[in-house]
Amino acid sequence: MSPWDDSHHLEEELRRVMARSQVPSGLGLRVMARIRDEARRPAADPLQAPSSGKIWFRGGRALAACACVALLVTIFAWPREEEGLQAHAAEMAEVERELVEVLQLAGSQWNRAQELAFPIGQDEDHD
Amino acid sequence: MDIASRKLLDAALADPEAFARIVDHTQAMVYGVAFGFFSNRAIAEDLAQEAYLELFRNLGKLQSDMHLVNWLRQTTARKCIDYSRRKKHAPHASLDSIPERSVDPVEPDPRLSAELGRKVADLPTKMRMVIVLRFQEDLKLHEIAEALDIPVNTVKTLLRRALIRLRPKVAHLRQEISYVPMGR
Repeated sequence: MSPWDDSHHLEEELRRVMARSQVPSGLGLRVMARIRDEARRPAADPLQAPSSGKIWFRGGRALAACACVALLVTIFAWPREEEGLQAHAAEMAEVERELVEVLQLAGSQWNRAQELAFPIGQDEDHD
Repeated sequence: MDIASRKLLDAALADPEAFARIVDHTQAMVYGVAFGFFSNRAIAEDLAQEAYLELFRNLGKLQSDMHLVNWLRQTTARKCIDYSRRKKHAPHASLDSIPERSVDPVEPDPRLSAELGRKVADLPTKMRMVIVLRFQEDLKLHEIAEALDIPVNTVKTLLRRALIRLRPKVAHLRQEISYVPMGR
């Protein structure tokens, strides 16, 4: 096994290679020039200036996430709703059929009960 | 130093010279992180300036002087990652960028340095930043976690994966360099 298979050697090499770079000359001056420009702007009060827009960024992301969730719910819930309606309609039709059967049965029972109570022949006898 | 002291920050709020002193003391770190991440002087300088502008805008909000360096490091790292994601910047360590790094007591092989720089530049964004903060800034794992606002275990995972990615490539190159016959 090569010593380079060992993380320790790799880390040492990385430390050597990743040594800090030299700062370009005049960076501090250029930074201060930008700061002065910023300070000269009317809304450049450091206490009043907006920070980084991070909250807005997060708010935007949250809004986008909500929109995505709403879209997904719509996409996945819509066919289910249709399926649900179809199932409900089938169920209602079944109930309707059963109800008709029950009513028919009740009707025939009623007719039979009437026939038993008032037989046609008896009426004629009374007359 | 008093943990809650804001002497430095208050002075910087009132006096541009005090702010310039903060810049002088911290620019090596701020520029170093950005350059280590991008291997590009122009982008590194631009991001360093952006970080200081943000510091200027937030001087009144920082808790204490003790937080200053950590805040700057965190802001620079965040700006680097944001910029990289926004621009999909894929840095390539050019050979001319290598000598700009400070000279080490043990002279690294320039070919190995360049190649390792390229391999680091090819790493995914957060992995690359973890490598920069760990090996350039010499931060501890919990400090990296704080700077990147991620759990320590995530830092460990990113670091381990980065080393696993780099190891075979560097080992191969090192072998190549070691076997160059003398006198060539």
